[in-house]
Amino acid sequence: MNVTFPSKPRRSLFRASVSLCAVALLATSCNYGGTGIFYSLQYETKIQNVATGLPSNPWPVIGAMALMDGWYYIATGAVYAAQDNTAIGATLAWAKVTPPLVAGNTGARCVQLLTVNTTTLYAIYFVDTASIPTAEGVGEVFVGSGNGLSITWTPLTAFNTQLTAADSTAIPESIYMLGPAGSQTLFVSVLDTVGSGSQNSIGVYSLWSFNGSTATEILSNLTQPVAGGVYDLADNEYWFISGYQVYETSSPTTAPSVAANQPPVQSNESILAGIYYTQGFTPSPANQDLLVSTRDGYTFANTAPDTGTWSSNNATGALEPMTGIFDFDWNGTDITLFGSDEGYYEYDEGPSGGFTNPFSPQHPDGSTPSSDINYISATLSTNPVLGFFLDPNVSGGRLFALTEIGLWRNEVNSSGSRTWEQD
Amino acid sequence: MTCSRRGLLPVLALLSVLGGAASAQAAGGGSGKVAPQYAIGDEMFGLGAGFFLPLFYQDETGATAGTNLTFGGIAGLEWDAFLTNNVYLGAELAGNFSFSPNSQTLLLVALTPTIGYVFRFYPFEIPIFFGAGVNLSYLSPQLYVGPIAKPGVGFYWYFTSQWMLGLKAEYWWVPEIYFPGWTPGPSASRFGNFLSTSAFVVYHF
Repeated sequence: MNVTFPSKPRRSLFRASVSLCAVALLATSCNYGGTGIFYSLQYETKIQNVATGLPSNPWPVIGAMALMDGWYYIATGAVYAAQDNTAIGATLAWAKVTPPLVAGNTGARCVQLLTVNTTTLYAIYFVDTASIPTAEGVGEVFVGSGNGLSITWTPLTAFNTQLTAADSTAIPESIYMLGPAGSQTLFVSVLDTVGSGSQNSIGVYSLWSFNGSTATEILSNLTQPVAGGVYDLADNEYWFISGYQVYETSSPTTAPSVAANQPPVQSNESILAGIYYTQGFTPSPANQDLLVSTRDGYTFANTAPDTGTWSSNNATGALEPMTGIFDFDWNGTDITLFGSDEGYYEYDEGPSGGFTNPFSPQHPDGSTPSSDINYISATLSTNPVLGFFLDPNVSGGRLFALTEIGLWRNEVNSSGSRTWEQD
Repeated sequence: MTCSRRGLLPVLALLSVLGGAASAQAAGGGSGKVAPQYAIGDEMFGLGAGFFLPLFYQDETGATAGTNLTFGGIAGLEWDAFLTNNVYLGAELAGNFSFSPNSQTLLLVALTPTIGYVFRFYPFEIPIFFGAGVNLSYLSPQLYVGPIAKPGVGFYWYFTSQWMLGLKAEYWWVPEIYFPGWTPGPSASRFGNFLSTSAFVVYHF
């Protein structure tokens, strides 16, 4: 029997069918990144400000962090210090450390900071003087001695004078203290305004080493700054990065050479941004890794950097522009962290450590023994993370992230997960 | 991005059942000052706004946990066509918002085909209904597209022969499922449970 519907019911059925078909086409389960919406909400905690005495947001860039004699120090223009209260969630009371007050100084900004033992800080301050009142100041290396907020800064005159004798306008930019325990050498990455040949007067970069009395320029006329350096304990070698190349030397006073076994960067435009050396979860030469990262979003790892094959994420695709690298032991798992211009990535090496080839760091997603459970809810996840610092004296390890929006702290919460709070 | 067609089959089955039911109906209609009578071809359109109450999450083991969300707001519109005097078929588009502890905004936008049955006590009526469809969950920068089921009940008053005003309560069951091999993994799967209450105005035509 043929049935003819009136026009109005026909329209109704048509509309219903169209609606249902549209729904059917859309009814696929898809997710676009992240840790899981309800999952991350379930564990989201109010980001607390767990510190006093620091500037309110937005912060200037955190240059570096150090732990010396029970005190934390951070470089963020000024140097701030806070006592190392190891209680979980403790409020850290930060206060400003008096900068170098050399006669004639009108201001001083700290851009780099490190410590090598429990008594001495090394810092690069940009010092303004009456004769250069509004310029960027003159960069100098200072040595800080003392304790807590009572730090006395003394220019590292032996180095500064040798540097300025070679180039009166040379600007120290970064410092590294590398070498075997008890025999470390200070390395200083320098911006020179005196070059040679075609580089003349357009700004070139160099690397200096300082053994306590003699400053030696061991790399010169570099087109890119020395962005990092590490000491390879197993092979007794010093590694540095500049531009897209890795340099190595076995002596702190010998000019590093371009390493024969370079990481397979994408092109000569791939600027190396981070370098890190780890002895592995169970320290041994077999478990060591040399890691580098690039500004075009790639990272490389090599357990035998002189000759071995570099593992990388070349095959899995570029990540955000990368910055510093760090690794730490979380609950029996070796987790490597890769700072980037948008949050950070982590790679779970597992209990035995090591990197597969290819390997693909991911933003914390809660599916592994993650460094984080509230990553996605923290503004940390959408801002540049420049580096990390770990205080191993806190139960579970107190991890700091040095970011362009201040200092963030990561600790184990009462449920056994790690959460980020803002200092 | 990770996608699956697993959600397609239940919807197609629902489409088939509802389509078969629709084609079996006869024509009719009614209006006036007496209790309205409806038949196939009669339609209604409603819009409303109200409150959104997050209840709890359930994980894949059945364990429940709080949502960590504030009270929120909801707005929606619906269109329905009567199949008989008491049974209707339609669709609802509704969106809601609520806030996380760090003031992030969770947005849920659901499009659900709906089937309902109306109990009438003129000038009042109580519809019970069930909707199932697709839901977009958004918590910046995450987006999840998945299924949703929404049973509900309403209470309406005819203030003219064509206009009704009333309240509607709906239970939002929002699975967010991650299968093995997806990012994140199955341990991040949750079933969201929410309740909405809305004031609705409905026009019959």
